[in-house]
Order: sequence, then C-alpha cells, then structure tokens
Amino acid sequence: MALNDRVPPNPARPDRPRKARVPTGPALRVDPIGCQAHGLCAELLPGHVTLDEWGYPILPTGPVPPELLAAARAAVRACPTLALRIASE
Amino acid sequence: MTRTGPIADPARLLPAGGAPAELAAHRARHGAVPRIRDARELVALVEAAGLRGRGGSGFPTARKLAAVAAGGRRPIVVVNACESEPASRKDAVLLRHAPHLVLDGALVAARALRARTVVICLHRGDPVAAHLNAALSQRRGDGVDWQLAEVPRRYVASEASALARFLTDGEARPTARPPRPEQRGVRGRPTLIDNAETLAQLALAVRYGPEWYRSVGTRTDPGTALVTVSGCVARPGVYEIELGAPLATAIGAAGGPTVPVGATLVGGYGGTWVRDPGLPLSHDPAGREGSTIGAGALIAVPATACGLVETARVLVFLAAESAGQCGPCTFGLPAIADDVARLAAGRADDALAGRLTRRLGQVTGRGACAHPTGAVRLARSMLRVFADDVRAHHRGHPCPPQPPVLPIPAPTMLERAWR
Repeated sequence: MALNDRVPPNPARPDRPRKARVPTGPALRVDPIGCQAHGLCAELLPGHVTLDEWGYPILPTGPVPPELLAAARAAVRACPTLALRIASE
Repeated sequence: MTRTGPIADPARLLPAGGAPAELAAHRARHGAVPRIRDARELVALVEAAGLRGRGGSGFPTARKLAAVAAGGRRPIVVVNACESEPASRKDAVLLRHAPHLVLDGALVAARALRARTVVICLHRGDPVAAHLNAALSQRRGDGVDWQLAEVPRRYVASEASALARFLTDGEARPTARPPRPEQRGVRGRPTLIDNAETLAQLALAVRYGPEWYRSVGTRTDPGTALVTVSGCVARPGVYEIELGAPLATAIGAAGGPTVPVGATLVGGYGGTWVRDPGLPLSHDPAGREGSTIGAGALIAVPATACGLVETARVLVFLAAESAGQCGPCTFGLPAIADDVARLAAGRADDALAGRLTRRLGQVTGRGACAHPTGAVRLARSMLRVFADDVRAHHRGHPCPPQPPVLPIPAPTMLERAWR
C-alpha cells in the first residue's frame, strides 16, 4: 500500500474544517480543553459520537437528528467535565 | 487625506537606504500620527485598504477592529511581537529598524478604540526589549499607557487567546473559543491583538490612504509583506515583497539558491512544502497544497536533504510544544511525529500507512487553537510533495544521513514554562 496514495490532493486548503452544511439545527460541540475523555457521550449516542484512539469524542459537524435530541441532551447532562454542549446554529 | 509619500515601491516598511529608527527622523518622513475620529472611521479606512493580519492567519484586520469596537467596555490593545516561528525574524527586524511605525499603528488603533493601555508582547529575554524601551522613552506624550510584557518562549504561547490569558492570569496557554479575545480578552475586556507588522502596515494605510495601500499586492490581499528567507540561499534575511509575488522573487531577493533546492517550506512550521518557484505568496491559499504565506517564514531546503527527516524533526518539536490541554493534540501529535520518524528512518511497519492517515484525519481541527491543524497540514504536505521519497522510505530505503536544515529551538525548561 502506498502511503501517499491515500492522501487526497486538495488545493482548497484541506485542513480547514468545512463550513456548516445546508441543514442547520442544534449541534453538539465539545470544549476540547475541558474534555477529559470519559467517553459517556459516545456511550449515550452510539453511532452519532465516536471516539478516537485516545478516547476523545469525534462529533459530527452537522445538526443532531431530531430522534437523537433527547439522548444528546442526556449526554450533555452526563458529561463529567461539563465539556459537552448543544449549540443552536 | 490620501497623500503619496516619498516611499519607493514595493518596499514600504523597510525601504532601501534604511527605515528611520529615531523618532525625529520617523516624523520627518511620515509626519505626525494621523488623527482618526473614532473606531468607525478606522474600520472603514482599514477595510478599504484591505489589510489582513501578518501574524499568520491573514484575518481581515477591519473585522477584528469592528469586533473589538462592538464590545461595550473599554478595550485593550496588544502588540504581538513574540515571533514564535523558529525561522521568522521579521518582527524583530521591524522593531529594530522601524519601531515607531509599529507604535504609530498601535497608537492609531488605541485612540480610535478609546483604549488607554497598549501592551507590547515579546518573548522573555528578547534583546529587542532594550530598543523598544528606548523608542518608548521618546513617546511620553502619546496619551496611552505603554507596557511591555515578556512571554514564555513557547511556540503556542503567543497564540492570541494564550496572550490574552497570560496577560490576565499569567498562564500563557490557549483558551477555548468562544469567547474570542476580541469579545472578552485581557481581564475580560475586548482586546485587539495584532501582529507587530500588521500594526505597522495599518499605520501606513491610514497615513497614505487605502488607494495608495492597494497600489501594490493583489485585489484580495493588498500591500507588501515581510518575509524571512533562510536555508540554502546566498543572503538569508528579512525582505519585503509585494503580496502575490512568486516564491522565486523572495528567494531571489535573498540572493538566490546556493545549491539546487529540493523544496521550500512556506509559511512556518504549520505550513506547506512547495516545489513550484512560481507559487504566488499571499494569504490566499494557492498551488497544489493550498499554501499561504503565513507569517512569512520561507526555508529553502537543498535537494540533497531528506524532506521526510526534516519534517519528522519539526513534528517532534511541534509535539513537544503542545500546551497539553486538548487530547487530540496532546496524544495525537507525538503519535504522528513517531509515525513520520519511523517512516523517515525506513522502519515503517505494515500498519503505518493506514494508521498515520487515520491519525492525520482525526487530529486536524480538534484543538482549541490551530496548533494541531498546522502540524497535520505540514505532515500531509510532506506526504504529497515528497511522494516518491515516501514510497522509497516505506519500502525500507531511507536517505543517507545529511546535516539538519530546519532550525529547531533548544528544548525549553519545563519548569514553570507556561508562566
């Protein structure tokens, strides 16, 4: 496997996070300094929040699907370091 | 009040024949500090000039000014002259040769924003402090409280939110946003934090007018910029170029290459590798790598050097310079640096390619500040620009040892390093 083949060429500044997509709504946000990788958010929102190899949450940039809002609010309440919040776009 | 000054194109900050370092000579050349009625007038002027920040991000200065002015409380102005990029010297040279241009810009901003305090931030132990103190002693009638602050010598300590925090509680580590320093910065006040060169450019834009300011540079990034050219060039140093000028112009200003160049690292240690001498240098992403001029550090690396080894050395440095606050940066940067170091040494295991690619994707954009994103940008650009070398190294064929090119600062004292 050639390493460089897997890096997408992208002239438009590949490292900049994409701007909010068209559908807007309440989205999960994490304070990266406050987060201590307890991982409860991923447990309460399986599939929506995943963890990186060090246990820190990877959040989708888009809004929380309506059917997951209750679970998202529960995750916000459960975060031991109060690092998770729901931001309205 | 547009007036064409006796300034040669394109050098404006550091004209041929020398910039006036003494206050009397400075005033003789540029006149008194222009009077601006209020923040609104300054925002309009700076917006018309199209000035963008010279600290690395290229953020529109007018927007920052407007955000500070909207804050309600009395703002504070901070001049960021820390220059943490190991290969950058432009702010030091500017403050040595044209300190009053920087101070004029800070004063114009402070007066327009009704700020009473201007804090100039330098790295601890920076010899420029003596020059700056001498310049400040000539400016007692400015009507603002000029202060000097010495910041710990760490790479991310001069990131804007880290400076705001340092000046508030003495801890020079970045903070989570929002709020941005423009909204709530030093001691909770709206804080304008601008790079030293940005303020010097602002002084010129206000003095000679937006039309004059825009007469060089590009439509979306007008004016000149200071670049620090180093590596395998005949005369390493700080030069002033027109924004949008090709990389070859900057290398040529430094006397041209002394040996064949393999690639140039453009924009500092969170920047990109570039082979194309025609790459236009500005804050707008250009070329295959989406390169930007950043804070203007350009390092030409000989074709005989190994781009992977050079990148690995920088990544190890960047990992050590993490503030250790955000997990993806704290754990991700050392992991990425280790992967790249193994690759550079020709000791890649079968899982390395997949692992490194995944880590790069998972670390970018996930810090409170842009530090991890910059490290990922550098690593990704290495993988593409040195693609052939990457293949050879991956197959277990490293380059023969070469002397290091990119400068790495001596390890910092860890004790109290952030205070």
